[in-house]
Amino acid sequence: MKKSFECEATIENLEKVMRFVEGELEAQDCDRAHIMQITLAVEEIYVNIAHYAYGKLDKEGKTIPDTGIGPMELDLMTDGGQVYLTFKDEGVPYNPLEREKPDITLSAEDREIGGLGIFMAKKSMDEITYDYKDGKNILTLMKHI
Amino acid sequence: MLLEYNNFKILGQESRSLLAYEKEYKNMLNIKDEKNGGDLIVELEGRLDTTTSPQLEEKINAVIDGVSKLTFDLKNLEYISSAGLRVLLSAQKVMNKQGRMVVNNPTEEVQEIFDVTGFSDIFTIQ
Repeated sequence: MKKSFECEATIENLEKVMRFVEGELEAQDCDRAHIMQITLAVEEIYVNIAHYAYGKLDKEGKTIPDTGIGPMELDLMTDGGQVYLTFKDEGVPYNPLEREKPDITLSAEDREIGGLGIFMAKKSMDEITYDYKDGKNILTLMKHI
Repeated sequence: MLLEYNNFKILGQESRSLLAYEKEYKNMLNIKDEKNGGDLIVELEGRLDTTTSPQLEEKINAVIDGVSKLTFDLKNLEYISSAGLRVLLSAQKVMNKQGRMVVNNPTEEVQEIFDVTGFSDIFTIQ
């Protein structure tokens, strides 16, 4: 089974994306705990794309969030006991897996939220792989269900 | 809500009324707050995510002045993402300066997210 969802990568469309994923997983009789873990990863990855994929770059080459909009495609595939979610965007080449792991032992005062989203996505999925092909960032998330 | 209306139209789901959509949208997170002197209890029901976190942030900012004990009751919170953690963290930072903060009754799922992200060590969870 493979289903696709396409939209402009904006925060306003997050709810649509979440409904798509939740609906498809429910149709597959996926249990609540797994659905929650998978939708958490989907939210974190999608929000990153919406904020950063099409952002303009500042003088130092860093992306300025929310300064551009472009397309995003999400494929959801189930294969036996595994679910695969593939995010594709045509934004700046960016491998979120290379992002430094946040220090989760710091106190409230020193904690930063940056990087936590991708960390949470990694923790809730079994495998995440990144590829850049034909001008697209391709991020595939896999979980055993 | 304008953005959501626009978005709704762009995506062209004419079959559902705007009103129904707005109702559903707002119901994703319910916030109940009760202030008693310096005691503030905030009960959260539903989802604390990218879409709903700004509502909580706004609420907290509006009521946190003069609070010496802030209690979050999470027994009906089903879901929290990094956006929600960010709001709880900034509340914790404010309360570190003016009193204390307690997080009550997280569900198993939410507790697991606190554990994985190290927030179990930051929050006082009861």
